[in-house]
Amino acid sequence: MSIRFQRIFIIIVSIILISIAITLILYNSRNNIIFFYTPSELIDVDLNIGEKVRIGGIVKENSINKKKNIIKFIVTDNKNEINVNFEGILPDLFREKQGVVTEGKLINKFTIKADKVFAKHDENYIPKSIKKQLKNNDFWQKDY
Amino acid sequence: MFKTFFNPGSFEKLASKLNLPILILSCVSMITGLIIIFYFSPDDYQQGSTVKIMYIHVPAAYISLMTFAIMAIYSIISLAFKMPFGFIINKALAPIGAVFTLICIVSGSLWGKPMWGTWWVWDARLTSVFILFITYILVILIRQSFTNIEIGEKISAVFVILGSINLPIIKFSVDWWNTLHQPASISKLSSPSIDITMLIPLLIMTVAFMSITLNIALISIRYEIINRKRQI
Amino acid sequence: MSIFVKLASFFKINLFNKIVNFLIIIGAIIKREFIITYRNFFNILTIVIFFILGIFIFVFATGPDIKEYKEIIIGIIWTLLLFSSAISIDKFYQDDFNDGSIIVFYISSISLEFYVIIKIIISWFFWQLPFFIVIPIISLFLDINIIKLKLLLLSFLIGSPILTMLSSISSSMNLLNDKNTVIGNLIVIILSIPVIIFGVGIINASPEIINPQLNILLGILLLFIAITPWISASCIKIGLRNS
Repeated sequence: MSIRFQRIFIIIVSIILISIAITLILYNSRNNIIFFYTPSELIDVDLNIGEKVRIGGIVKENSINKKKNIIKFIVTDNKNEINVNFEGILPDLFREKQGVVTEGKLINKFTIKADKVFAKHDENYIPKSIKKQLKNNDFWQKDY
Repeated sequence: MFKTFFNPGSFEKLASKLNLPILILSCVSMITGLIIIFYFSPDDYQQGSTVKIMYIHVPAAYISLMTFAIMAIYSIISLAFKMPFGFIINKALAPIGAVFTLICIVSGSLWGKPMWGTWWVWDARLTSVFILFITYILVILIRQSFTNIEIGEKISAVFVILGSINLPIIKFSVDWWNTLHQPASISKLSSPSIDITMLIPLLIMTVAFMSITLNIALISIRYEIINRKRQI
Repeated sequence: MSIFVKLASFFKINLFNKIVNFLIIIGAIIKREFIITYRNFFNILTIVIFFILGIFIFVFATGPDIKEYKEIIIGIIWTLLLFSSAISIDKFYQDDFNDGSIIVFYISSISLEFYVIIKIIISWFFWQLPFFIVIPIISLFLDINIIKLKLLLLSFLIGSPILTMLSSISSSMNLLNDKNTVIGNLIVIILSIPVIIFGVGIINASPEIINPQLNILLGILLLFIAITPWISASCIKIGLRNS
């Protein structure tokens, strides 16, 4: 067993190990390292009431309801909906049909009492004037 | 061709020739870029004028990733073929990369406060960039902590190679996992989801940042080469 | 046929003898490491006591109300495990390097990579196994339920070899470091970030994503098994050349 032979042996073993490791990591990480759940995912997974969760989705149209300091709105992913109660200051970007991520405690299966609301903006950058034209032509579709 | 990038003598010649043109390029592109950004580039439909932070944030992020990638390539080559020139490049690039990563983090949190509603969240993209920043600092620190500079350079090169595992994680974190940070706009070559009036100043600023980086790097590499020649 | 005969004779005489020789040398190294580590058992005891004291200090600092810190206690335990393996790195290669035994192994045709692997296995056995006895006892004090304890032990079973390998990497990097010794601990801590994320993540995750998280941790372990011998060996080589 010369040093060279040992080296070759270890090289082969480590290449095999690296390939197994990369497939393991990539295969499993796809849906499991999450910053937030979407509403459908939240309904699928069993979480205890009172547990801390983050959910992300789009604010439903005409669902924002302000009473004094308490703001209620609905987060949707076009399939399922989650009600959110929030007390505090909203970010500038928060409006209807806008992506948000909220962090808070689960009150019941479909309601969250949020501590924090983050607005999520998409990767599309479009000037205001062009956006108006697109909207007039009904060409504009928001994809989520 | 390759010899130029690994031989200190010819690299120094090339660097001394390139220095002035790159300085002019960086000045011109920076000034035109800033003028376009402040007077001609339109506001975003969602974000208003806050979108102009992007023109600093995105090029800084590019530079921080690219610098680390270059350092990793040079470290591998110079450790494998025993060429000390790569260590000079490591020494010159590490502080620049650290500064640009810091610029990226600071401008990102300035952008995040009005848009997302928070300075900082621990999602995959932000965390991995923060780790990149710490890695840069550790590379500099490891180099300093040996009395024998040669060993410090080699060990920090090993650490750079180890730290380059982080690069693909940073790049693809927004695609693999759902993060608060938005996905990349330009990497989709077919149709960048950024309007042409905003893309042009972004590209100009990227050129400006790159040429500034290159300029500083060339000066400090030349300084290091001349310094070492004098010691010999 | 003659080729086969030649091959057979070649294997019988050369390779068999060589393999036996190799195994004998490795056995000798293992025996030596066992004896040395066993005689330094007080060091290991010190680290274990550091861990227990750390937990107690945390409890005293936050107050005696157990319910308050029930959610974060796993993270605290993991952090202290990491710290205790980060402060125990100094002895990894330093003694062998200083008295020249690494060079002896190298001359006796054991590649440095194999030496690193042996060293990692032995020090995992001695430095990390005591924690498998200590963690259940600690969990009695802290009122951790049995399911979480099982998961904690499982994640530590996968995570502790990674911590040992990180110690190996950082210790081999700092063989000739004489100015700034804290940097070794920093290297361990920054490289352990993925281990901490997934090690704690397994325990706090909802049931159906435990398995994928375990697989990811396992993947990280395999990755480190693959790269650690190379990194440590190359750093030791750099040290040997320049000392």
